[in-house]
Amino acid sequence: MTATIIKDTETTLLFDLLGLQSEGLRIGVTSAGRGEGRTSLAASMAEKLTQEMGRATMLIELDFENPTLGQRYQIASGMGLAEALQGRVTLTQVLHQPMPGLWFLPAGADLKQSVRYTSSLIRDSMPWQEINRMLGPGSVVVFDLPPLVDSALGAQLAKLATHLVMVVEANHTTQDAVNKAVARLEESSQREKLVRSVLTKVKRATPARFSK
Amino acid sequence: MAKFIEYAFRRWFWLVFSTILVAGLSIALSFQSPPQYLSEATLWTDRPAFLEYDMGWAPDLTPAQNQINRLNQIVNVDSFQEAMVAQLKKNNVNLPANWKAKDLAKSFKFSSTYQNLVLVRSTAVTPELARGQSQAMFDAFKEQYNTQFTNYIQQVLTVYDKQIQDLTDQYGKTDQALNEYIASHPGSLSGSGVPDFQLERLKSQNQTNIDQIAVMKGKKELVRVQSQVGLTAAQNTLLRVEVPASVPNSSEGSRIIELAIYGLIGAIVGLCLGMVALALVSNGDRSFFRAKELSAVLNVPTYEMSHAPAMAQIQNVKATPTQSVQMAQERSVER
Repeated sequence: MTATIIKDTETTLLFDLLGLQSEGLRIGVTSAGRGEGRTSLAASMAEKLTQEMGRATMLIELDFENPTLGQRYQIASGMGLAEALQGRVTLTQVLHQPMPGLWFLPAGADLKQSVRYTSSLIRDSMPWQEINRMLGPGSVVVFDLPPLVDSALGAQLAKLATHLVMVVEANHTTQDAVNKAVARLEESSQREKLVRSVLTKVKRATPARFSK
Repeated sequence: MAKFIEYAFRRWFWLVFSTILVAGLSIALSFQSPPQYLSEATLWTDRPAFLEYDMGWAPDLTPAQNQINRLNQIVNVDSFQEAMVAQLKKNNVNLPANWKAKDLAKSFKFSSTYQNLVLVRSTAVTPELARGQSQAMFDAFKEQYNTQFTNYIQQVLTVYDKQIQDLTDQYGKTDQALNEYIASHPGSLSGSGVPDFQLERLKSQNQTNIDQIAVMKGKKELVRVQSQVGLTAAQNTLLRVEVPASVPNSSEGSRIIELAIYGLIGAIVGLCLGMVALALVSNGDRSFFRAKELSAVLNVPTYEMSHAPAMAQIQNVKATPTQSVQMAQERSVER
């Protein structure tokens, strides 16, 4: 029953987002702090885009300070986006495919220069055209962004996304933290990209419930 | 208010916990209080049966409720309390160290189980004191009652004496009038065959007075004798039912009720405290419970999820870089 609720909600959210922009959609999943379900939601959305909606999807891990997706996908090699930005490997060499249609780009292993990577990324060093071409039409990119308040890079890396989804943990994240996160987005002029939010860990949540 | 209700539903265990905690503490506290012992004395305050109720001037001696009201007042009077303490000491009753004469007012409960029956209940922390208090109250009441009873009988006899004197005076007048009539009507007693109505009227009135005096004297003698018997009997607790102080009962019998009351009060207090705590915390809580709250802050549509999205579905999928790169290259070639 719970699994159904999650599926329905995420699927509804994804249809909602795809309705905003069908082509070239790059969804950034962010939050105010850590542990609110941001990474899990990003991964789950990418999987559902692939499995249930037939969209080729690339999941990019941008949380250089606390990468966890590699472990979850049981990827042995530590190479990832960081190494690609250093020029040590090409992007295609560090791309993983956990399941057909889903591409995963881990943050990498050499993460000491996260600020530099961020600067490099927002200077548009990512070959989006090539990535889109590789994934095919209707593909979606999902970013696992760093948190906006707990990390200084979150708001900067949000520039890579076309649309932002903010994850907030129910009964935990305070209104002050959310306001601070929004302030960070406003400082980096990314506020208008925030189009949806998800309140996670809600007790007795109703399927696909959302409030405008 | 809505947030508080929401909060109460989410943190119902706070209410349960505080209710159980305070109720438990309350019950534990009740165990700490010393047991109370109860001694009862019964006073039958009825008016003696031989007294005439139609005598409007008779003092109203003993309606039980009047006595109860008076007793409830008198136990709060300092002089009475001092007298009671003196009586307790005189009876060699050991008084607890922290016991005060002021406690007497709380120690006594008076009730009426029957129209003229006053039940004196005395509670104390020791059986000896409970019985001593009860007995002292019994003695004081009995003494007071007997004094009042004696005074009452005296008033009755005085009234009877006055009525007898009035009747005697009346008899003297009618007797004189009869003698004067006979003297002025010498033939009235001759038996001429013609009825002398005036003579018959005077003779009848005279006889009536004699009869009434006899009746009243009889009543007076009856009251006098009966009162003597009554007073004597009262002193031996024979005429009126008077039950001296009983052997105190431990309050253990009513312990369960006492614990239940303590527990109930504690539970109510605990529930209230829990609600107050919930109200305070909910008022200060700035987190989000519902999507609409978050939506109001962010001004964007907001979804709810019962928990963080599960990763179980993809956790066991292992991808190798080699395989991934190969597939990517294949796809790139296709394009």
